[in-house]
Amino acid sequence: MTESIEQTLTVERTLDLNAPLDRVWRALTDPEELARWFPDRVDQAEIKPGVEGRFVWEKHGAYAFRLEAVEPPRRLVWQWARDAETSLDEGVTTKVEWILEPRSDGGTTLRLRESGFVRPEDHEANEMGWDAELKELVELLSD
Amino acid sequence: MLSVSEIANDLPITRQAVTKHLDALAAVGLVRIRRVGRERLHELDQEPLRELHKWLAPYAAEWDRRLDRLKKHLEEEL
Repeated sequence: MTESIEQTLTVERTLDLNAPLDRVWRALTDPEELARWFPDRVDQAEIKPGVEGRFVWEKHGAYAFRLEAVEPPRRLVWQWARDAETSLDEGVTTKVEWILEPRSDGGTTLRLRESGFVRPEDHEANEMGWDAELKELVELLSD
Repeated sequence: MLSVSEIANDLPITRQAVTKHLDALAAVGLVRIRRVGRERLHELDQEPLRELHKWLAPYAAEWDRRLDRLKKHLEEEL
């Protein structure tokens, strides 16, 4: 296995969509559009950095989020709570980053990266401060 | 298995710093240390990384389901 720690704790996906850039951007940012494929409902006042909102699932509860970067129609970043009904300040959060790239055939390549996953038992390890050099070290020892 | 010197040669930090990091990695179970004579040899233990990967799998699967719905949603209009 050649994965580094960073990759292991990050979910990354790339998707080729047969829809133009603006259309995909709308599907990722318009609350009504989001409700068609992601949560059941989005509570959100505005689409700009710093705005907080909630993704609501009838079955699972409401998950708080904060928009970190809004760069239409290429990049969108939000930070969100890992647990329902938990504020962003008190619980574990992860970062979700979307990158959109137009393709020559009129479609869009969409990249998703969710990072910052931490297992409760890993907190102690993080506090030891070794993760900065860890990636290099893991690669070295894997040779 | 690699000695501290072999690892330090490829890193921009001192031998002492490398030893400290290796001890920390050994403490959390990511590195195994074996003593051969006066030398300490180190080896990566991949099992904890596999466990992390396994732990993350449900989150990845959840995104696969959501992205599948997104794709279908966008195709409905074509």
